[in-house]
Amino acid sequence: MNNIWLGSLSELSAIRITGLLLSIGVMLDCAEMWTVRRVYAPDGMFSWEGHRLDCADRHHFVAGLLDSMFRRYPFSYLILIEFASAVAVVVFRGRYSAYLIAVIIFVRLLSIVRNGHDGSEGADHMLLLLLSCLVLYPIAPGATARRVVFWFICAETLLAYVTAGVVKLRNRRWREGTALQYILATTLFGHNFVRQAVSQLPGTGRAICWGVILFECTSPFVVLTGYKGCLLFVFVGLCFHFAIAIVQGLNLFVWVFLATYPALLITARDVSHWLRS
Amino acid sequence: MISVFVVCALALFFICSVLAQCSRILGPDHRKAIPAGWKRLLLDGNQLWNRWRAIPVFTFFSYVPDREIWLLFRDRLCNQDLTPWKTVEYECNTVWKCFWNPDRRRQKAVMDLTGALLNFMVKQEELSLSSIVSSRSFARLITYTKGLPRTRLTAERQFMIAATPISTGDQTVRILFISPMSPIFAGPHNE
Repeated sequence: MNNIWLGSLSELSAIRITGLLLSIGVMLDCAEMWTVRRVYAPDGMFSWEGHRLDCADRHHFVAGLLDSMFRRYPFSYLILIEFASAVAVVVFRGRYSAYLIAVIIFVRLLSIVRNGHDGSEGADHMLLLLLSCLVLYPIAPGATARRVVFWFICAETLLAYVTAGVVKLRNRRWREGTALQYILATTLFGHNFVRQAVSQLPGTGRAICWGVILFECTSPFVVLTGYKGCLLFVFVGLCFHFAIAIVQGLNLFVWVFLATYPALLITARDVSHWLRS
Repeated sequence: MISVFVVCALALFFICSVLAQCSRILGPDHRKAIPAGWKRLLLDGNQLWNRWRAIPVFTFFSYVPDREIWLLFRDRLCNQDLTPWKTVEYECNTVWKCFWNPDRRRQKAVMDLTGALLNFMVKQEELSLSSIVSSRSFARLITYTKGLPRTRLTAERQFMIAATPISTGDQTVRILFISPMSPIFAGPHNE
């Protein structure tokens, strides 16, 4: 018997859910950047003065244009434009969302030019990728092309999980189960309480390490075996990303990877249709 | 026509994504086993055709840190006295940071920039202070440390990168780099 909820998830709903989750993620990110906007000031961590060394001599016209723009206008303007666009995506419910998302992409690309990749994380890359897909979706004229956008999101998501899983599998500390102790001991990505709990319960570290490796490496098999496997994956994935956000403070990952799950569900449904037929 | 373009563009991007992951998945151990032509494409791809990091590489926490890197700074005051080294602190993770973590980019950037500066020094065949000082990571770190709170007596500031081992019980601090003193020009002081 088909799962009712999964069977009723239309393409349009899936793309709207993805857009909504990404918009929330962008709003959160902008609000956080606004709170610490001091670091984007001329004497801050992300000052344009510090980064322009990289861009200075490459393309004179573009460099000159960017230089005058970033010197003249504070970075907080870009944060405000991005935040307003994300709010508008939610408010207008898809009416102008492709244009608004294109604005968000443009602002994020400018931010990369201005601030570089320092301080960015995997979630930023995935966010940009998903936003581009949301712009492509309405442009794609045929039903097949639109479907391919979902398959692409699914493929990139699974590639992300598998790559992370395989590289972990190749790492001795992950296989031995000591990796977690090392990561949790760092100030930036660690958590004292969790580290002590893991060290006091024998075998926990090893179990978690192998659990993460298995979750990541087996993701394509679980998702592409059909909707039940995909629902299981989505549930475990939700727990996984929330746990990472709680322990390591990587809150943007939650919104971005959650936003890929509607595409996983759509693709899983297509795969199970193919398998049945 | 547009449909074909969209499908081809996405397929091409996905193929590039798979190739970009190869350099991380295969790693240096398999370098010898790969034919020379493929080596450049697969292993060095991220330095060649993915220099701008348009194609993401996903290795979330796959590399386990064995040391913690610290950024410290100290001042030379107007009377030539040196202040003690102060550590640029990271905030410890709490459950609340699951919802609100505004400082994460700054903290990650400190880690990225110190790592980039150390890598830069390792890769230089002839290491000189002038090449280090002209590097982007140095410029950003000195700009950042000079912007940190100071007294009105502060005349110059320098930073240090130090490392402590993780989980071995060894608390030895290794000093990896000390920057030259950099003058603080007149401006608002914070303390």
